[in-house]
Amino acid sequence: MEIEKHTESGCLALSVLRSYVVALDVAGACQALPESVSDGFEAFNFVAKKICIDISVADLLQYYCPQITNILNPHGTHQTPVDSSKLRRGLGWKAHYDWKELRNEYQKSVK
Amino acid sequence: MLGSTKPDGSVGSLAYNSPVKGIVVTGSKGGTDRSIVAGLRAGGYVVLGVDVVTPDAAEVGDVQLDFRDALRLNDIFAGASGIVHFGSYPTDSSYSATDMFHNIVLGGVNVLQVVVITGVKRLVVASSIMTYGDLTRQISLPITEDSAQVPVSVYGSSKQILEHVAADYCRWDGISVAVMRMSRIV
Repeated sequence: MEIEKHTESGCLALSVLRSYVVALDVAGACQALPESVSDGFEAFNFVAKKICIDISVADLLQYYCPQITNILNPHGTHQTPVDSSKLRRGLGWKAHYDWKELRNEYQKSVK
Repeated sequence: MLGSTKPDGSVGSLAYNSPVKGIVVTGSKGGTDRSIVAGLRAGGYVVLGVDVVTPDAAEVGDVQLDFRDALRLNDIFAGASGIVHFGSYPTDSSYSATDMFHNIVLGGVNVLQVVVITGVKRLVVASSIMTYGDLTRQISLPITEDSAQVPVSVYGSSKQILEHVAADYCRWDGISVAVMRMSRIV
């Protein structure tokens, strides 16, 4: 399962800082978008808040990306550095699914 | 009227009752899109799925179509109130750079052009946070919609080009396009 390998620690962690989004949450946003989009062109970042690793984002950034000193908002310890607040503000969208729940369901299903 | 596949394989039309809105979802057989189709139907929309893969027997009315086929797209989009364009090769697929570019950019431009021709007002396009490129090379965080887009792959570059063209179509023809820069979908 895709989510499983993204929960591994170590050097893989940096590549998954971009986080993930659950298909059912995408479906939820798509229900709102056709009616809600304003005229013209709008772009929305669309990621779940929580990264799918058990390492703190701040620790990862400090270790791997010391050149990034301009961090505008302090992140939660396990929150993605990709900001989806525009989507939440604009559409009232929020994620309903969490990677740990998906992982747990998957692990149960393969037992 | 939304286009659908007749028993003989030709594209026909599927009536939907006003004021219920008709939505066409491209890439409807992908993992994400199945959820989108189900979610939209649960929300009261009449949904027509379009995918390059032939629909199952249970997917009555859905259409097999490569959306680089603009002529057939024209029949299918006519009368829809919105298009959700998620049909493209995934980022980790093993297609050549040329195929990837053709699929995302040329297919996407066909979708935009047919949206304009058929008078569809709203289009949702799946893009990617891969358009931002290597996150670790950003000069500031968090990444917002205004952050620099510096893709490092043909996939990210193709999505970025499609975004630019979509923005131009909005200026030229007054359509509305929402681009969703998504991360990995699980």
